[in-house]
Amino acid sequence: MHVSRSRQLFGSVIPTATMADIAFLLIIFFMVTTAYSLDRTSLELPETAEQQQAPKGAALIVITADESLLFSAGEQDAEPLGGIDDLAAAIGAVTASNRLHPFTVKADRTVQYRVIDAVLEQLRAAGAENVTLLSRGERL
Amino acid sequence: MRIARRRVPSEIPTSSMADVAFLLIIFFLVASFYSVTRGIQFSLPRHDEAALTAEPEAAVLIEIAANGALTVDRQALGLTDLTGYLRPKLVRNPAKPVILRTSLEAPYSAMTDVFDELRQVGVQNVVIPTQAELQLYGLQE
Repeated sequence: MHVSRSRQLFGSVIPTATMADIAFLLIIFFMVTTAYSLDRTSLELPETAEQQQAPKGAALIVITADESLLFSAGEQDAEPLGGIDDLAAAIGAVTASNRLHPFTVKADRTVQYRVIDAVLEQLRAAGAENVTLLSRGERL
Repeated sequence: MRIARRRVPSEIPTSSMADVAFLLIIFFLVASFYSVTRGIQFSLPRHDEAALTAEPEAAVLIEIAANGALTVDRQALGLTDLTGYLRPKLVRNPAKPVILRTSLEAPYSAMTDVFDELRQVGVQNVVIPTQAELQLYGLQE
């Protein structure tokens, strides 16, 4: 007896439309959470075990190993400053518009505390309150 | 005359879109990994006279010498012994102020090491007076 078999043809296409949706959701997530560096100066940051995320859009003060200063108000790249007086003016301009504007200090670990003290004094004089000292996670 | 019509497939090719999307994901992943945006946070108080002029037993005074050596309440102490010294004091008074005075010649890392230790012990009230403040209150030696 001849049995006729009906063969069902399966489509050979893998549905990939939803994969793009997931991928775009992940892109949006990473776009929102990524904070771009305002400064690419290579520094040896101090190491700390305690670490908190610096606020997004914070003004950045960079102190290099040779004690030169760079400053960014939080949106554009950091630019070199002439000295501590220029820094005072730059900090003042930021706090004049928003006294609660956060500041981030990115300083080389070998810098003498004298420079940090001068920078902290300028921040205090300008009325800045929220300061983050950038550090690298301690390697255990 | 009959014109033969070519059938155009009705599907939009989306397979390459996922490739582009995953490339973008990798870019943002790597970019977020390399940007250093973490550190130790603290609040700069307005001239905190109360903490600076506190009685010796009301606050803990930590001094960092130029060579990084620590003096805690006028006695020499190692960085590792700091936790043992501070913990009983914090149990009695969790809001106990700790004044951190660093020598101007000391390296920045000496200050961050101590500050990090204080944060790990759970000190909430860390006061970092600047030289100008110390001069203002006549506390500079």
